[in-house]
Amino acid sequence: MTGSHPPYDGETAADASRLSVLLVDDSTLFRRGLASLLTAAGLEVVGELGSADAVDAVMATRRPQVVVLDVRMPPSHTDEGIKAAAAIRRTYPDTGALVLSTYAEGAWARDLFAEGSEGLGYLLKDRVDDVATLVEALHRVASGGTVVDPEVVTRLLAETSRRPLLDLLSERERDVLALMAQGLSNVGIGNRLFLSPRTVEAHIAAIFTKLPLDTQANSSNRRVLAVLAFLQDQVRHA
Amino acid sequence: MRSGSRWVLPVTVGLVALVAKILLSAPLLTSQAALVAITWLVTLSFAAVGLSLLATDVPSANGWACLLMACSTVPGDLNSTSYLSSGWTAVGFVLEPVYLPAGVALALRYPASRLSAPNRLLVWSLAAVTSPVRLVTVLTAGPLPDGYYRPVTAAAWWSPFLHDAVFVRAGRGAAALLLVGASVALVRRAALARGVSRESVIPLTVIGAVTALAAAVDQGIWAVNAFREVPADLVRDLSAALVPVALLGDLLRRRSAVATISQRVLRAARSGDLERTQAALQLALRDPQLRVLPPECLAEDGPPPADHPALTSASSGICEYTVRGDDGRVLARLWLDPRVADDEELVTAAVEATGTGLENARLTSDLRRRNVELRESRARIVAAGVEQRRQIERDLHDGAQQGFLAVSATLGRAQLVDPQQLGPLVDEARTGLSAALGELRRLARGIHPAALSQGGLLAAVPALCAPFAGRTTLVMAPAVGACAHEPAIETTAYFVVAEALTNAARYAPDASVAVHLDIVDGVLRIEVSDDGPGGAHLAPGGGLSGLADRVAALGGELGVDSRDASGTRLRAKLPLHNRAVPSHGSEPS
Repeated sequence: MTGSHPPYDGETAADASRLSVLLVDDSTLFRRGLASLLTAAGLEVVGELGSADAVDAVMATRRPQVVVLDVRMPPSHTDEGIKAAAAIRRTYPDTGALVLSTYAEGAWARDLFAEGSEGLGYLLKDRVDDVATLVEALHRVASGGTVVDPEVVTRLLAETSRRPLLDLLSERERDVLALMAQGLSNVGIGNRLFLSPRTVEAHIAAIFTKLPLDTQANSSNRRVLAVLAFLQDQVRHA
Repeated sequence: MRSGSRWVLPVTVGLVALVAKILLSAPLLTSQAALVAITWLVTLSFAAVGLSLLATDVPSANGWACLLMACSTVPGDLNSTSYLSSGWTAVGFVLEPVYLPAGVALALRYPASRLSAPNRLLVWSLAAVTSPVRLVTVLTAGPLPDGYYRPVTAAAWWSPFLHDAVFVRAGRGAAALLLVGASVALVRRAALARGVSRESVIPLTVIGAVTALAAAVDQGIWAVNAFREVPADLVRDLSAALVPVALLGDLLRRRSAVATISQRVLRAARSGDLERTQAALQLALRDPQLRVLPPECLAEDGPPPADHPALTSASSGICEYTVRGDDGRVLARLWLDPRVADDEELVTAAVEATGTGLENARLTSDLRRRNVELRESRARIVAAGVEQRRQIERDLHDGAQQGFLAVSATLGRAQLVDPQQLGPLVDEARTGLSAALGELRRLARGIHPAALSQGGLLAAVPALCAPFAGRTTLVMAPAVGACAHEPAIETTAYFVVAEALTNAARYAPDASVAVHLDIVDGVLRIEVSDDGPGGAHLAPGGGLSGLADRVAALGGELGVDSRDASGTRLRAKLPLHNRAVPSHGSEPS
């Protein structure tokens, strides 16, 4: 989610001029800070919860477009946020879920995207210092898109070595995939790898062909989906 | 006493008896070679058996009895026609029957060393009517120039009738009757013998009974002065010759018996199983009613229960042996039939093997138990370490990290406002940062207090007590500063005080607390006591229990004394390994 991230699709932005958000985090300090930030950025914070237990109660009256969740929350302080995000996506398909975590944990990401990636996101809490990126990620998740933090992608690709799907790709294609997953544009990837944009396009086309991707997905999501294809493959082979 | 000097007397006695025997009976060799050879053999055997018995652990009484038997074969030779002209005949005549009471006593008690009261009376009576009566006979009859078998003549200076009737006939008659009694007692002993001592008792008592009966007949013949043709003396001498043979055989048998019993009992007792030990002892000592009781079964001097089978049997009770370990602790009690306990040597061997085996089992199980404790406490220490790290991560995650992230969010908000309006946001960020830093500092202090690193316990403990000032008295010996040489001790001591104070603050918020630290004899002693409601204890998994493990790992001990309503007193002792630490040192430099 750097400055070179491909621009967010304008088609859903108009619908969400004032995006409604529910915050779920057991740290009051951080939750208050985040609420102030999002309010200042023009979003509507419809509620703040200290644990995932009361999410359903809020959803019954106010239907936010996105729920932002911490991972470690009461009662067990393990992965309540991941489970709650999946549950929200199952129960309220119109609502997106963005997990904001202190750590980039590959296992949590794999669990989160195990049943699909639509309307789900996983960002590090560190991203609160970049309002634009954060707000854009919220909009994307709200509109059914997917957001994966570059840190998380790096971690996942590091853990993914020697996996069957990865073996399908050449070393160069893998490099391109890693940069693509971090949100770089074709030009950005070319600059990084000293390749012409055409060569990059060719590599990306090869990656899309080799990986089992949803051909219906819009172009910007295909890039993230390429990465997530790995994650789901990971889950299947775990 | 274990040196050779204790052998000088018995060996001398044996040799003197043997040499005297050979020299004195030499004149008879031509006429009765076979008989003389047998008597030499008897003397030699008794001397050898006597010395062998003295070499064993059996009480020495029986060894000396055998040497006495060897000696008592000698006077008979003096009382022969070869020495008619000398006064030695009279000495021989008087001392000759010593072997009778000595032999009867030996046969009635072997292998034990004590006689029962009736048997003792019998033996002393026999002794009284033999040699003393013969002494009187000699004295009243004057010199006996032609041997003891000469009919009493008018040469007696006392009434010849009384001399003959009282001292010769009545004395011998009494001896004959007592010998009959002795043979009855020996047969009875053979019949009553039980357990492992049967094998020692039966051969000797049977031979002894035959010898005593033959001797009785012989004495009777002389008393009535008739039936001289009955060869009672030959039977007596031949069966008496078998006594040392029986003893020698028994002696050899006992060597292997002791080894077998010890081995068998030891093997069973090493299992630590008292029932198995009992079975092995019953088999080894052949006493089916033998009982092995656990040490806690009876008080030290408690009476045996009335229903023990040994009590209802013919004997006078049971013999109790206390089996003790090396440290004097009672490991078990043995109840034996006293008739089995007669065989002191074998029973002692069995009891000692039981003690060795049970001690061995106790040490082994102690070792195993300690091993388990050690393993468990080590596991607890490791688990506590892991839990501590988990807690630190959690504290970092929930505390400082969220604080810093909140500051991050505040700075994020700064991107959205006019540069002129940044003031309040910067203030907010600064407040958030200092709070998060404070949180970090608090956490770091919990991991390892900086005060401890810099000023040791002398600085860190007062700092610990500071929040409780007004209700806490701290007494700390300056020598405590020397703990700085042993960081593990120092840190553990610090956390013991910290945990105790935390507990006091939590459970006895109004109580006054006394903290005391000193070093005595190289041991750091910590005591934290309060006059609160009490009721604290070392709950498994609690903070104190974890500290107790750490203290134990350092070779110390931690205890909590906290009866309800009498306050809580926590005491810890931590031995300092660095012995250079003064026990009452001065202010550390």
